[in-house]
Amino acid sequence: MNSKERVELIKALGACYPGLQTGPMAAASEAVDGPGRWEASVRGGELNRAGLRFFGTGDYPAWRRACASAFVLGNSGPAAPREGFPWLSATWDLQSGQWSTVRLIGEEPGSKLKNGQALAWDFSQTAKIPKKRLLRPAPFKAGAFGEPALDAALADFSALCPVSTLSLEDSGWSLRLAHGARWPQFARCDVSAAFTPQSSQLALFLLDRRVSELSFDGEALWAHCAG
Amino acid sequence: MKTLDEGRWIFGGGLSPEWAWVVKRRREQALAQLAKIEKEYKKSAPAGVKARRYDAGLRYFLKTASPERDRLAVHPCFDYWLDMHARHFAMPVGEDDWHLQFGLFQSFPAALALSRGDALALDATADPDGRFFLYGTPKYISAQPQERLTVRIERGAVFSGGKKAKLESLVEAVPGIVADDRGWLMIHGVTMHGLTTLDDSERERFAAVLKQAFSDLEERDPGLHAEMRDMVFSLVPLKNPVEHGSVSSSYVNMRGLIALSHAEDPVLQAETLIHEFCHQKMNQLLVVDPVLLPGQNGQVFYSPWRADARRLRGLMLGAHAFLNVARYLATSLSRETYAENQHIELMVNVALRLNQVESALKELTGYGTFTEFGRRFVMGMWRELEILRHAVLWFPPALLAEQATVAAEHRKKYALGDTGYHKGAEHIDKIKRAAFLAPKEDDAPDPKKEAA
Repeated sequence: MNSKERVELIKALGACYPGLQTGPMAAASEAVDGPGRWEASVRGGELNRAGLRFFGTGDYPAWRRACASAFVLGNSGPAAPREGFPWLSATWDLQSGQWSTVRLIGEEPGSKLKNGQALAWDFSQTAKIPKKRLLRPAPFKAGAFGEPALDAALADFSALCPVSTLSLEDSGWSLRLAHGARWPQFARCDVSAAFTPQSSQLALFLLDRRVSELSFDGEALWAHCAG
Repeated sequence: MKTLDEGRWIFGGGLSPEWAWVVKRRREQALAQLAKIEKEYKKSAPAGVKARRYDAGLRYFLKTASPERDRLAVHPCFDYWLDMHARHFAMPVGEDDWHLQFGLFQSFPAALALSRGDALALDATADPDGRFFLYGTPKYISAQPQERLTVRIERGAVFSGGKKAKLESLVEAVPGIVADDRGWLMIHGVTMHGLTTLDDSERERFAAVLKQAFSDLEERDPGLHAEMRDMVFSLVPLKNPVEHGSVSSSYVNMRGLIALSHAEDPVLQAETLIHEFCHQKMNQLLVVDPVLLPGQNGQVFYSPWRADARRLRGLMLGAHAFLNVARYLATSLSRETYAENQHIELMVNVALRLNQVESALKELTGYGTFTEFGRRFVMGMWRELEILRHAVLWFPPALLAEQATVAAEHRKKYALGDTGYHKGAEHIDKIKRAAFLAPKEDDAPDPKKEAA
């Protein structure tokens, strides 16, 4: 998804949910715009949050100016992360018209990261300082969770839409798909059940975009969609 | 893994070796499940339960390998008994549940001993309605609800509590297929639509119309008829609350049971039997091939038959059943003479079904991921649909066009554009469309140009 598509997505969100505030979201995301690509993130269950992810090198000072002051990470922000990670991953509360979570991913001087690893700084509206995490994606293997029902569901899902990597975090996880599954085909899968009540609604603005990653943040499932 | 022939599964293929192989696999699964249950019973049954001779029935049934035992192992009540055990005994249960579960099981060894002429003594439990059925036969004994019984089978007779039991009997629509409104293991799991209890004359009439429907089927679709006679054991009458048309259901955990309301029209009853039997046949086929790869249960698709969203599996079962119904009705129309109204109604039915099947197949092929057999199966249904279009060439073109419009109107109302997605009116129609999805002003018809 390029920046034009990002604008289109935000407009579509606004049109699909009259009364929801997307103007500040548009302004803040415009501040980040640069060479790179965008992904849209949709939440399973209640459609009260949407998200945007930017893969590339963002203008951190501009982002900082455009965002709420709570999201502060020094003056320069992290360097661009390695291939496969977004630089910015943020979720937007469609009711309050504010960013609800912001994650910046990259490296910091002196950090000794192994191949495929990255650092993430998670901001929230309540915490004064960001929480730093080490992201360690690993090749996906069936049975990774040790929970028979979840493992079986993910094994079925991976047979339909091959999963390349799995990242486990404190309260959640993330599955990166090998090729991306188009939204209309993703929504037939068992693992998309949380999106089912809104799937035709979401189809109106996701169209045939590809789901590149499926994640769980401890509360809800998120589908991250590339253009 | 045997390579299945998709053609014999799309329509009735008769009692071919492939059919027998699938039935055998189902039977093997059922007996393996029972063997596991017997082990668990020996290990975990409470002492008060073990004091009764439920294990004698379990052991006799497992050890008596015979054609009679093999038939009972694919009986819908056997299916339901296994399913009930899997659901209830996955969590802690009371001693009464053990008595009911294992006491009800004794119906099967008792029926087996009776049909083989074996001598067998066992302890049983009457069902909660106060009957002890010899499933697989139309016979039963009346008792008190959940009464603990001592049953003996000897020289083809049944003894209960030391006395020769008075056997009552259900009515058979055709030999081996009972009209059953009272077998507890038969009706307990029938949850869709209301059950009805018939008096003697109603039961006779229910069975008589179905007998005629079976007779018509034998002549017009012998392959399907043979399969049906092999797989179906019971026909459960349902209430028809709207007093027109019919209601029916079948269940994946009671393969071999068809529940349907009474109708005086044998064509309608044959249509219902075919429809539900096709679901049962597919449920049995799933023992050897899932057709759709697992993991595709997202309920998001437009159904040409309904107002709500369905799963791909539902669309597959619907396409398969209505393809068979349409072919049967097209055959009936070409062979029989009907009153004018019924003649038109049947043509309307066939024409509408063909359009609905096409819509369902479009979604299946567009969105589904299939096994190797599944791909051939769906392609085969497309082919049969096209061939059926030839069979209705003689229908009045206006009637065909009208039914194409009816199907298109349904799609317009419930599908998301021309996609296979269901359109939830509660969401879609109440929101303003995204600007880039709404028709542009330039695209709107210009009234002046239109007039010109």
